[in-house]
Amino acid sequence: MLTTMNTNTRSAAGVPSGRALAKATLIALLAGCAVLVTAVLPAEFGLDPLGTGRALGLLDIYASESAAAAPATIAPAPEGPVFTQVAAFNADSREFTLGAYGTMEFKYRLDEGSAMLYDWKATEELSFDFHTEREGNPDDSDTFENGEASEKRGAYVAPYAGIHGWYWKNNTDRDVTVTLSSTGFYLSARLFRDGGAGQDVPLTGAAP
Amino acid sequence: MTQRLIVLAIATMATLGATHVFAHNEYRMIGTIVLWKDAQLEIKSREGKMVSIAVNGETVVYRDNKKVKAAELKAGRHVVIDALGDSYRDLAAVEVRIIPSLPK
Repeated sequence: MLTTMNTNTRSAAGVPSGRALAKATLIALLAGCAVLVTAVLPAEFGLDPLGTGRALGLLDIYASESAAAAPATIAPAPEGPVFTQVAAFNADSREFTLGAYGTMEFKYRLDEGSAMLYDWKATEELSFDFHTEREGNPDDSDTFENGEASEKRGAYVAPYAGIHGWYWKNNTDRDVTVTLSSTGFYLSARLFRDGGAGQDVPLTGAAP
Repeated sequence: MTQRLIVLAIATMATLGATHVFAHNEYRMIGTIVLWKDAQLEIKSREGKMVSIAVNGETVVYRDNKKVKAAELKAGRHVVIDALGDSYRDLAAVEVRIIPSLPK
């Protein structure tokens, strides 16, 4: 009953006159124009006829969007994405077996700025440590990645001349086989087994 | 500006993320405990060499891949030790794993 009564009342009183509708439309139009001129034009198009864009900081929005939309400038070498290499391009692919609780270290000799791509897999998880030995001072070393893994792949650019590679530790009582493939601008490779003195080993060439 | 800050932040993290080691090598020894006294482990390696290794508060001892107390280190037990030092004569154990038998 109440609902019916309210509906009837609204129906009778809620229909605005044509004059009221025109007035409301005009007000809405003026408000829209005001927002357009004071905010939308400065922020979206950089147009600021009333100075409100500068006052409200909306011109900054336009400026930052314009900069973001502009194509990125790619710097030329050496900071750019392409950098030429002097050393010969090499490839290497090999397999190692680490006995129970055994360790092994294998590194490539790289000049400063020389790059390599690598991919190694192990039959079980190993402790690994990717590190360096600086040319002329093998005790000066940086570790760039370490942890436990059964495979790793990536790219590396030598920050300085020296030997750069992996120390693997088998923490199991079973043999673990590591397969390593790489390509890059390395000059030679060096192998250290179970903490022994290292020895240079020939690069194998392209992966089989 | 934002891009420069991101690049700077990444470069800083990369620099801090690299661990710089100077004049310390890691050694792994596999052998049998001969003596455990005064925070020093005397080990007879598989090759028959005697090695003395310091054990300190930061040394972690494992047995069956679980951390155990250093009191588990006893003469006659077989161990795999990862230690840092300048040479075999100056070593501090980082990890000691007690293993059931020496690998062949």
